[in-house]
Parts: sequence; C-alpha cells; structure tokens
Amino acid sequence: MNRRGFLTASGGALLAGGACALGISEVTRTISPLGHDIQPKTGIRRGMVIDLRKCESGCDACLKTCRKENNVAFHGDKRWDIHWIRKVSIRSRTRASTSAKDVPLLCNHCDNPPCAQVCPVRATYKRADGVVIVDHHRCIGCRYCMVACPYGVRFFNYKENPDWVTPERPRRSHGVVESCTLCAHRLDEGRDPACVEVCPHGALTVGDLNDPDSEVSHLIASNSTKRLREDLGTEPKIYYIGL
Amino acid sequence: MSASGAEGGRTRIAVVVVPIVLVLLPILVSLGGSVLGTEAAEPFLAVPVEGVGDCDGRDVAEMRFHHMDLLKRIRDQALRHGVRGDTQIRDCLRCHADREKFCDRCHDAVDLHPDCWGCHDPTTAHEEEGGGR
Repeated sequence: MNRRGFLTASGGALLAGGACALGISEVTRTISPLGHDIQPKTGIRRGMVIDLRKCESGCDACLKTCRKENNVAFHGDKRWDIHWIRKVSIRSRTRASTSAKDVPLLCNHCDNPPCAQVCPVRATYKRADGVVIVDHHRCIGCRYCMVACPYGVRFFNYKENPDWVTPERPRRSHGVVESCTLCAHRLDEGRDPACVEVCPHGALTVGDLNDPDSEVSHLIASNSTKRLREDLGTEPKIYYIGL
Repeated sequence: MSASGAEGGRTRIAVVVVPIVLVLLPILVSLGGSVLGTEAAEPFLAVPVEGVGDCDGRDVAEMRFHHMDLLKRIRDQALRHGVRGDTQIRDCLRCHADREKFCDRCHDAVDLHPDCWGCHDPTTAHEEEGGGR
C-alpha cells in the first residue's frame, strides 16, 4: 500500500467510525424515555398567615403533625433534633413591659432567599410558586445555607433519622440540610400543608399572595401584619398577625 | 534474495500482527469466554409481578439503559416543577418486589451504589445506604 492508498483508507475509516458514533448517540437519544414536558405553575406566590391571636401557647399540634407528615428526625438531643416548624419565645426589645410571645417559626420562603443565593450546587432553590425547598439529591451538606438563613430554620442531618413514621414519605439521609417545604407535595395535589390542616384554632392559612381574592390576601389586607426581620430585604412570605 | 525478502516480509507482518493481537487480547478472551459459556453469570433480574407504573409499555432494553434517566426526570419534575405524577420511585417496588434481585444484582455487577432506597424505601433501607457515602 502506498502512502496515498493508506491515507485514503484511514481517512475513510475515520469518517465511517465518526458516522457510527453519531448514529449510536442519535439512537440512544431517541429511545431514551421522553416524558411529558410540563410547564411549572407561574403567577402564584404562595405565602402563609399566622394569626397569633388564635395560636395557643401550650398547643403543639402543628409541630407534631409536621414531624409525622415529613419524617422529621427527633433524637431527643438538642444537638441533632430537626424542626421544620418550632415555637420560639419572642419578646419586644423596645417595649419592656410586653410579655414574651410563643411564635411558631418555620421557613419564611423568602422572595429573595439568601439560602438559595449561597448554595454552591443550586440544591436550594425557589420554585415557580415561591416555595423554597432543598433538593436533597443534590445537597452536598456544606451548610452555607444554614449560615446564610437569618431565621435559623434550617437544620443539618448529623445522624440518620432513627424512625420512619410515615413510610409513604421519604426521609433524609445523613449529611444533608433540610427545612420546611410548606408541604410542597400536598400543595401540588391541591391540599393544604399538614400544619394548616391540623391546627385546631385555625391560626394558620396558606394561599396565593398574588391573588387578591385569596384568604391570605384578605387576612393581610384586613389586619396589621408583620414579617420577621423585614429590614433584611429577604421579603419573607410568612405574615404574622398580632406579633 | 528472494528468501531474504520473504524473511523480511514475515518479520514485517509479525511486527504488525503481534501488537494488534496484544491489544485485542482482552476483547478476544471475553468473546471466547462468552462463546464457551465461561464468562461471569449475567445478573438475573426478577420478573415483575404486573405492569402498572410509568415503565409499563416501555421496552425492556430501553428501561435497562435509561431507567435512571426516567427516574431523574420524575424526580426533577416533582421537585423543581411541582408536577407529581402517579408514579414515584417507591412504586417501582410494587411490581419489582424483590429489590435484592431486581436492583442490587445489576448494580453490584457494575459496582454502582445509588442511594435511592436509603430515603425512599423504609422496608428495605439498609443501614449503610444513605449514609456518608
């Protein structure tokens, strides 16, 4: 074989190989499962109104239900316990006479979530409906979001959850950060979050803040509401009445 | 002259053939093994009870190669877009009841250890799964 022949043959072989590779990738692409492409819901801005006038200080129905609904880990040790919703005592700094208030505290699902901004792997993000959630498949457990969150409502799984109370719902593995999802799985099915559903006093309401006819909008319009640390510019979407 | 020419030709052929054979040796051995039936046993997958999930009606080969894409798609649609279909990962086990036979054999054979069940299946969750891998 002379040089010309060799070059022609090898060039032809290269072309054929390339065509085969392209063909294979094309075939792989075409038979890969093409699910239905569904557009996310837009225009909705979900938020919550907590009426502290109705919320009773001794009651922990929402806390218990949340733990059960979402398999939130409880180890009985402050260092490792996880709370998607918890009650904290808040006292006014300016008015010394006022007594401390028991306030349910949960993820504020901020419009400008600092946790999502700092996440290096985009595991924390804001959904189209304004709910801020963690993709635990993607979370690397760096805990930047816990540092960034001004409300201290994010928790790290230092340990595996020993109990799996609700088998239908997933649990989180060791090494990821978690927080309230506003029961996104329920919202997607058109149901209210577990805490809202269970509250015996009707103190919690969830709805679309963009919709002027929604219950939350009415509550916000007809009452004096406050949000936590509004000064930070995070635009939290949990509104408190009577704080 | 002609004898030495033939000698040179044989050397040249040997110089070409020997490296080619050496390079192809592993492939040839595995091919020979499969022909003679001495290769490692193909992981056996348990036959599903009945088809109800998203994989229903899908080609077996397609599922074999692309089930992870389908799972990721279901996951991303649920998590990122809030679109939760009828099928979730735990539903796989409704038909493919024996996880040991259906998932683990193949994954073990290719030394892959996805962490699905550590969080998604309370009945067969292993201690080591979902841990600090």
